[in-house]
Amino acid sequence: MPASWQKILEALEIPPETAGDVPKITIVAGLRISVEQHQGLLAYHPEKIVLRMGKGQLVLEGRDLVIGSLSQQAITVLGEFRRLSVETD
Amino acid sequence: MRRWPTIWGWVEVRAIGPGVMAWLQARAGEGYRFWQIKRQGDTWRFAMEAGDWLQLKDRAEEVGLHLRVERYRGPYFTWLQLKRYRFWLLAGSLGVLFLLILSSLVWVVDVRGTETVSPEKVRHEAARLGLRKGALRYGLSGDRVAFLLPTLIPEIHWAEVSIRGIRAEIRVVEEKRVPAELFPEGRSRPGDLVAARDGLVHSFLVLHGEPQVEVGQLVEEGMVLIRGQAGGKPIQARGWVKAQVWYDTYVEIETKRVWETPVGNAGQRWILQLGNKRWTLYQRNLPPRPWKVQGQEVAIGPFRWVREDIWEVRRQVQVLPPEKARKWAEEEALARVLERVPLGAAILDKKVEILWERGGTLGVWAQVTALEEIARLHLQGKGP
Repeated sequence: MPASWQKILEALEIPPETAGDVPKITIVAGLRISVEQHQGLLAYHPEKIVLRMGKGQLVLEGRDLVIGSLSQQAITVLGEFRRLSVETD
Repeated sequence: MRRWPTIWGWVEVRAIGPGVMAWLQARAGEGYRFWQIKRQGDTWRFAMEAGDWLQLKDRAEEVGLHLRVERYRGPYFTWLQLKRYRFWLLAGSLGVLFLLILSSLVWVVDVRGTETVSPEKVRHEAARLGLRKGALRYGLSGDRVAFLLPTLIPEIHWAEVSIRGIRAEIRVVEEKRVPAELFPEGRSRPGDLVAARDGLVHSFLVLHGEPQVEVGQLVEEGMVLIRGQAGGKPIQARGWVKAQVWYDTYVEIETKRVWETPVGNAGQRWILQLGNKRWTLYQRNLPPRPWKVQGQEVAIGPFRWVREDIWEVRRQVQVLPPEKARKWAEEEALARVLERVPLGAAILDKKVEILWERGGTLGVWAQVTALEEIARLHLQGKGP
């Protein structure tokens, strides 16, 4: 999203995810994480999942991680999460 | 774990190789959906819709991915599996149907409550009404059978039918006929219906005999209401006559209430009594007064032998306030009149009036108007 467009949205107090291509992460009780508008699965191991998100990566670390669902719009990850981090390129 | 809804079912697929993740992402990008994606080393397992599987399995082979279905899930595949056992399914269904049919029939007809009538007779008549072994429970009306059974068997006064499961129970109560020896004169002996008490005729019904009164007529006790006569021949009159009857009373009521409570001391005395004269023959432990005395008498010729039990009591007197005393006196007078009204009579009116009041005593008149049956059978040759 261009910086100017982001400023306009902020000025109008409009949530940036309404712009469409902004990832949205939802965490439910540390047992379920849903990511909408992700840009691909980069790695999957039962202990670590890496997702591409715009200019960075979302790294999920834990135990017995399972991809609950995978579709064009969203991915849901289930399991016992220990760490969640965002790494920028 | 979420599963995508599908009517065709879904498949659980196993895939091995380094290209699985990329292949899954590419297909997800095309709109296919996967779930329950798990990885163990190089082995991937995931679920997908059965329809998608048919479309994608060849494409996966083309790019060198070897996919293998481990399980078929969902209603469609369950049905395919059950088809293999269709003989057993059919046999089981027929068995259940057979049990359903058997359980919808009546197999046991119990009869309870019979004394003189044989249970077989009750069963026979019930069978004529449709309640028999092998009858279909549905559409069988137990109430109808219970209603009609007494009409088919006159000895039965009342019947009830309950059907539970395969068992029907007929409960009956037989007619209790009063033995003939209790009527030495016979029930058909000629007689009139006469007034049991004074009253104003309200209504009447003549079953046998000739009416001698009219509605609105005042009748006196002993007067013939329905004469036992038909075509000049004497018969036993039958019917009923309802009349307004007045009951009244006059009572003098003390407005002070007295309670006597025994305090524990008690004694006895034995008295010989002749007319109004009394001689105390023996006494023991006589308590101080006031007393409550309870006597038992035995008559010996002109004498009376009286034994008296005597208890010392404590008297408490409560003088009621005037308004409360009047109300209590009225209630007391009405209660005494109502004691004389026979059971079953309808109370039409109540009147109560305090006639005088003097020194804690009230003179009260009370009257109750009742509607009751006053006809009593008077057999010929006897006084009323």
